[in-house]
Amino acid sequence: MIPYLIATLSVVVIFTLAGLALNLQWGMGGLVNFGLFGFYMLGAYICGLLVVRWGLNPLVAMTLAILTTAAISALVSLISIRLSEDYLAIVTLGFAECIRLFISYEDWLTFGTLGVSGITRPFAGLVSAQWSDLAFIILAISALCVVYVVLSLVSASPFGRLMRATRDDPDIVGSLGRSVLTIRLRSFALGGAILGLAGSLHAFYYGYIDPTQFTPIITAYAFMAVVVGGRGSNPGVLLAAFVLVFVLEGSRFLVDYVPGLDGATLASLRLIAVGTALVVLLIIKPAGFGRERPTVRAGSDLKN
Amino acid sequence: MGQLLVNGLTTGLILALPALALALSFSVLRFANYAIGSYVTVGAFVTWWANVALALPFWVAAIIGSVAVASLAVSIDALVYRHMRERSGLTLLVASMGVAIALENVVRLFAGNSPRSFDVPVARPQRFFDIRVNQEQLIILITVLGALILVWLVFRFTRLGRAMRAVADNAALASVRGIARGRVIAVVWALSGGLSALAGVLIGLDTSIEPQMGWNYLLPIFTAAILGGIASPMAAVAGALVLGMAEEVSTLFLPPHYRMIVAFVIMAALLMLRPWGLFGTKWVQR
Amino acid sequence: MSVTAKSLTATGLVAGYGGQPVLRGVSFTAHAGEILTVVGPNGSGKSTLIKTVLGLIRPIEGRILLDEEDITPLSPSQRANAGIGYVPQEANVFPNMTVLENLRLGVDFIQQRPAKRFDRRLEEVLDLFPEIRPKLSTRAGLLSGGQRQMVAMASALMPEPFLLALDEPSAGLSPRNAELLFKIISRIARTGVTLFLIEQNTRLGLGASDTGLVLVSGEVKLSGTASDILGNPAIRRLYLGGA
Repeated sequence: MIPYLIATLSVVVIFTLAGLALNLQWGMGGLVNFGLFGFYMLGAYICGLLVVRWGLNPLVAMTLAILTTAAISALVSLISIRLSEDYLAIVTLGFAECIRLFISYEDWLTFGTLGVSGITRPFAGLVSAQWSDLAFIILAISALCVVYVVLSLVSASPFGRLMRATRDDPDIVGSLGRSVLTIRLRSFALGGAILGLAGSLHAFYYGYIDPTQFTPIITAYAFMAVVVGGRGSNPGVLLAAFVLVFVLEGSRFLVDYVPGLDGATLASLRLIAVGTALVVLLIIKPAGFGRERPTVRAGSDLKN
Repeated sequence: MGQLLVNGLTTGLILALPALALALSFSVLRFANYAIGSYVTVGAFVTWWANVALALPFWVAAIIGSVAVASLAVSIDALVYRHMRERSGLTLLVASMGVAIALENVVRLFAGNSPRSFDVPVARPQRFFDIRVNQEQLIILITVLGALILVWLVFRFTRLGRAMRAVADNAALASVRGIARGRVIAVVWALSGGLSALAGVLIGLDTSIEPQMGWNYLLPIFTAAILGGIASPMAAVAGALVLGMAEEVSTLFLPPHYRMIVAFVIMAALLMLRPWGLFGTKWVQR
Repeated sequence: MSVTAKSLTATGLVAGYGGQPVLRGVSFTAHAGEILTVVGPNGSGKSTLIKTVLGLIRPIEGRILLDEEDITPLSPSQRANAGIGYVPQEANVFPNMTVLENLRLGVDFIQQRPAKRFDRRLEEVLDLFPEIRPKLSTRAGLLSGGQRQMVAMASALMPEPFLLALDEPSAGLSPRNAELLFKIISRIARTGVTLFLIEQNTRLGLGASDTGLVLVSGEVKLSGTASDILGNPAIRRLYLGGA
């Protein structure tokens, strides 16, 4: 039971991080990142390859993965940052697909479809194998706590209010002499850093990564978490991510109880449910179940 | 080189239909419909079902597929998008992604994951001056040209076409002039769905169909539409042809599985340099 | 002269955008075939008034009559079909469509009365606006501001409305073009159309009108013949810069 709980909790933590990253980018910043899974994959691969190919210390590899993913996120967002948000959505999606293709075919660097195996976890030398999962979950939860605190601080800071103001009306923010471009760039990069972290934890947790693990479904789940949790609300997304993973993971057991239900059918049904729920929630409960913490109107921050 | 041109033209022609469909719905509704790929997929599979399971002639099946997706697109608008018209475009964007995920998996649920082909007689390729043109490519050429000419005629010379362009051009004035926006939107969705479905059928004719197909075409469709200037439907057709050629020419120096990267690079360069499209005129944007 | 024009009457209009009403009991009559111009300072409720007449805003109280017919419950498009033509102030043409297409859209979805052949009506309208005759196949977006204003008015006139409502027609026009515009407006009135306009340019607007209405803070401050209002010392002081 305990191992199972730890396994589920690990997935929850990684998934929550992805949800929080999207909440920062889309929820607070109004930047639709349909290519979320690509940045997540990038983080996982950079971290995994640095450990396996170049034998870097896992923590160093993770740090580099976070920084690189943040930098690449910033670059990708630059492509369309001057245009309306519709364009960022397709740019990120395109980028993610390209990353997946590149990783699948450039075997010399990425091991291609074979995948990267033998990714050692941080502190592997210090803890015995039987405590490895526990050590991992402690690391993952600590990382989540740090991210959560950082995001709460950002959310309450003048920058957070500027982000929301930019989301709601970029023209006003622009007209008050604030650079919409920089605000968007920074929020997208910060989101990218969190995705890099989530990807790294993914690589550590499974110890093995291959391109089939990274699909647009990750993006769909992250959107689901943000929509359920309420755009802009960090506690809401945290809670939503927990509930969603338990529901989705729990539904695996249906196969054992419902006759005639196989894995593929269940996967389709689950995604039909996710897609439909996304749409229904956006129609009937667009603000989600959490609430964005009301802040002083952004105007006061713009003046100083 | 000639062979490359023929293949590029085929790719471009197939892309032209959904690119036109995307630009059409964008020009009227100002929202980029990410479910367009799944309309392509559903169209292909409904046609396959009518063609193989019901053993109907291929062209009858294609009509059934197109009409089915046209009605599907109209219903989805009535069920989903209509309730969000006053929301920001971003909400619609995410909703359309939800629609795409749901539709693609409905197809998976019924058809499984394996690729399928239509039941059409195999014909020997024709040769014109050393260039091999197969029967399928001729059908694609004729179908796409026919569909495009039809859409162009409707746009240019009918009351309905004027109404669509008027709503796209100036929605507020259109309502002052007595144009019922809701009706125009329904027609736009029907057209958009029908054209996408037809593209799915032609893709199936050219290669094969699988539930993932629409997703794989999403990036090229958007790139083609952006090439044309996303709010100008007919220019999207030109964008599609340019992209088709570019993808084909790129196979001279890049492995064919990197066509998607070619599309992405073209799109990125365009967005940075000429966001109003190769053929579009500059329009106001945020 | 006025064979098809109808009068426009508003009684006790109270309207606004939720909460505080902008119009606080506005009544007036534009008699059939005459030109009525509403003037007033910014924020006086001029635009709210024209929007209420067109049905874009539902009044909280009061009624709007076209001759004897109560049009208060009608939607904007129903009002268009009841014979109210409208020329918005900005974005008043379809810029990517030709002038001819713009004119066609004037009657495509609005019932024309009496039913007349398109070509015949087109000729009549083009006689009013000879300047746009050579531009029929030009895209409307490429025309000058004055020409666009004419295209907009011409499309609104295509279905032969009983009443034509103009939202600040002279805004953004050069003084010469504005004068030309008001000459055309007088000509339109003589073809049997009632004109209801709101105008920033008080002197020019009232100068071309039969009746004037001065709106201040959502109430009718003054109404009467346009020349009386122009002669009113208080109005001269307020809007016409002394003298």
